[in-house]
Amino acid sequence: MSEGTAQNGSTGGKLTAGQFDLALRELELPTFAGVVKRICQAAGGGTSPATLQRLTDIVACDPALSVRVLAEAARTCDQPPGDIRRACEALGLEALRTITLAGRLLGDDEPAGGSLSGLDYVGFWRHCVAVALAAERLAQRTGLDAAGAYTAGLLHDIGKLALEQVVPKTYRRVLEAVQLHVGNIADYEAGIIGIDHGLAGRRLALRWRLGATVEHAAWLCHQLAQVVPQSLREHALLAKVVNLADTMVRARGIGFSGNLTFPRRPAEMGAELGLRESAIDEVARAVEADLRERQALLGLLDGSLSGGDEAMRLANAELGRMGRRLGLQVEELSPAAGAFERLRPLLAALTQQQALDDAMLRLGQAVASVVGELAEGESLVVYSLEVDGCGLLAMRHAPPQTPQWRTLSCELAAGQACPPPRPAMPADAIIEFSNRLLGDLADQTGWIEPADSAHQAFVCGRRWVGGVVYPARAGRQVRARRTLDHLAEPLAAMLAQVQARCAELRLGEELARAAQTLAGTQEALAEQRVLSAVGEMAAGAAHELNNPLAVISGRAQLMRERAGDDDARRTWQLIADQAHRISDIVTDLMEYASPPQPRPVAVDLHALLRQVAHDFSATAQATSPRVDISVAEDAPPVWADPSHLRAVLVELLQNAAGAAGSSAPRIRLAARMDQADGNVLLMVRDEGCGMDASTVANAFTPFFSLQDAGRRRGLGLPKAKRLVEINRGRIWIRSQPAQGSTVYVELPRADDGLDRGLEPAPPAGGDQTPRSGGRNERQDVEHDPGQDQPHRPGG
Amino acid sequence: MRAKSVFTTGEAAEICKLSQQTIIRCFDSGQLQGFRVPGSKFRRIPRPALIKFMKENNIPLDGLDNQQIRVLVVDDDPDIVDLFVDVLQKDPRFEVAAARTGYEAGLLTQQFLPDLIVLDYMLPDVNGNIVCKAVRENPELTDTRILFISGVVNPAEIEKLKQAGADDFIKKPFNIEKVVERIIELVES
Repeated sequence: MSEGTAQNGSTGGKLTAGQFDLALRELELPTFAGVVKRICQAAGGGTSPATLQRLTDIVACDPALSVRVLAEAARTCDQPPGDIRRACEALGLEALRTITLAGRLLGDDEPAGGSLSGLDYVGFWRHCVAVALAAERLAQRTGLDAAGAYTAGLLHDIGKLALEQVVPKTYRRVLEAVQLHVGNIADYEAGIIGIDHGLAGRRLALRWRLGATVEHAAWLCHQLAQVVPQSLREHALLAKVVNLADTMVRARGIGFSGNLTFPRRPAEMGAELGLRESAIDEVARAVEADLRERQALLGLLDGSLSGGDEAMRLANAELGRMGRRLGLQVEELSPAAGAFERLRPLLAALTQQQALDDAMLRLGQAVASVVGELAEGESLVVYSLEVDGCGLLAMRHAPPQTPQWRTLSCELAAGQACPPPRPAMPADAIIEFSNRLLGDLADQTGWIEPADSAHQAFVCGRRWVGGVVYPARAGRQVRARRTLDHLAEPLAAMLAQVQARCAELRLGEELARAAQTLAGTQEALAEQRVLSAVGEMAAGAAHELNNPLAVISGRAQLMRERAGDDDARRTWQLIADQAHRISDIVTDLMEYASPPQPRPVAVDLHALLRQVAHDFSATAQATSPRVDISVAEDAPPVWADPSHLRAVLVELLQNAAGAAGSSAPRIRLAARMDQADGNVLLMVRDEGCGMDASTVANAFTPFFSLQDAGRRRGLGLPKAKRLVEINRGRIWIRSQPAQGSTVYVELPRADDGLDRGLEPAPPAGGDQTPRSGGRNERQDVEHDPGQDQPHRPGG
Repeated sequence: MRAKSVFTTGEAAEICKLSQQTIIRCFDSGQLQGFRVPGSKFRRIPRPALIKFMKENNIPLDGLDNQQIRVLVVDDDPDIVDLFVDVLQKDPRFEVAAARTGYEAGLLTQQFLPDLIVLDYMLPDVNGNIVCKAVRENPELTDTRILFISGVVNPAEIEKLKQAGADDFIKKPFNIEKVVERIIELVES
């Protein structure tokens, strides 16, 4: 399926889980050329156990290849092995070699100069392997199955690769959004594509039957612990290990994951698993060494993708074509078998977990065998009503072409989800329903000609679940109809059962998402509660502290007047000043916890930025950095409380100056329009010491300060964040050690604000609520021009 | 400095350098003209009547012009009260009285008739703004200024205090010079 068709649904540009399932039919995850080469070399070394061991090591370094090996093992073994090592053992040397050769190489059909999506494959690979290695070592220490943990770690992010392959162009937008806004890639995937990599990984694991270990690792390790159902507790423990491994690897900055949030510290997560902090550190160090070894094994040390030569690609492509031809031949031969013989395996398949499209494919084949050979240009269409809660999924069966799939919006499916029960439905109503459905199908797909088609509906219990449309040629139709009449009921039952399973899957996923949203809301609520408690406490403390402070300061002032010499006067003045400073800290804390209500107006950034920079320079010392201002011509006024905005900028400038020290000559203060969503973006950039990822993640935590003790009290950035947020804005930081930091402030433009009036932001609600709720992660949806309404913060 | 138009017997006694008893006797005998506050027995002497009385009895009029600013400090924290008393008592421009509760403040306000009250917002018995309202409802105290002083700065509460009749607000801890300056400014305005 091309990216275009995958996106053509009835859900407004977003990909549904059902459409993703369809895309998985044709998806081949690409492998590193270097891996293929090494396997060919290793496989040449005879049939000894050592060779198999070496081969297994190489396979276990590549997520895509591991997926294929697991899927093949699941297909051919009675007892699907849950991890890569056992799968390799079960398949043997020859099969591994064939699987490796039959795959697609990375960069195969991408244009020169990199992938369509812009995904850093090597970085992604480093992340996956590092997580696998960490999970393996953590599992050893916690007494869990190490091989399973390795597999789970290696494949925990496989959904990213799958999404990136299915919708490369859209994925590029996700990666761009993550690049700009520091957040969690899963939120951007959900926002921009429609499904996140956790869900994608789970669907992939289900379809390719990779086993419970991978399925739950891909899915559960991205979920909150409290969302995990009781029945999955065993897997939840493994998911916790993978989650910890992932956090450790991300905290060390190994590879690319796209998630820049750190909701919990590794030490805290380790404690839940009974691991000491020192143990986690040991594992992390060991992983870095292990990872270097793996890189050397694959020849990836220079970080490049190359390593496979042209001949290998050709052989690979040839093998792939052979495989596909074989597949087609099997499909061509199959309709020859008799109808009831077809039906037997069909019904037997019901006991297995099956995807809707697979079921429809089998159904199509069964019906085709009844209807008889289709002439050139004729096709048979199987449809299922109510896929993903909306529309209709149709499949065109017209050998020798490969089956085609389409999701359609269907008036009948939406408006008449449950057609009247069969006996109660008058004949003319059934005919009308049937005609409208054929009309819809013909209009939207062009696959059938209603006048020349016969229609067999599948009704299970009292529900119309789907049906089949086939060419109605004289002579053949009567016999076919009679046979189909017999078959209709078991076929309908089968379709209904598969639909029910799909709905169950979908509901489970929706439930998990709702629970995530709820957890996010709860987190925001808890934060609000903590803040209000802090506010109350600070107000109480202010009252209790300011009286003695007033006495200290007042007495010191009196003593200063009486003091005989300058030294003594300076000392008394110092005492008075310090009393005022303590009082200011308490006041700051109070204002942080319960800031004054904003009174927004349209604020001209040109004037405000100049004013703030001027005031800053006026009070700055000789060593302070210079402030350069650049405001884009098209930067519109913002809708904010000017005193709040001024306070924010002063805090950010002070923070930048503090980070710069005396070594950096300037701070850049810039403003421009954010073309993506029409908001205004302010940037404060310093050329100072920069911050590592965990410092960035904690930068907005009160009293978290890496600067010299006593210089700043660490409330500057948190206060700025509070003020930005109560003005309906967002604030975030991008920084690299030794490369300076940039603080971004995004604010609504003034013409939007006027529409919304003066009311404070209502709590975000509905399906647009960010999953992680609160903090600085808003779900960010970037729309194509001309698509839907632009999404606004807090809207 | 603001000239008072009506005096209590205590104030008149001080200005004339006589005992309060003498002034009361002269008031009651009609030698010193005046009136009683409606609904109470408190005696009040209008400025012209006092001047007439002083001239008739050859009392120098200096006392009338050299009036000190009368400041009532109300705070439940004795250290704060002491601080104000220390600062203001040293300064010949001021005369100071102090109260620790709202109740005490009410009583003293009647007797001392301050030009300005330094009022702590949080008193043990009543809130500062109730004292403030009571002062504002008393017609005798229309010229009395109220300067709130508190450790808690909440813009909404400050707004409420101003509505209740406060003239200004100063946050604890404070700069003594500025507080003194402000007291004088408020009284002279």
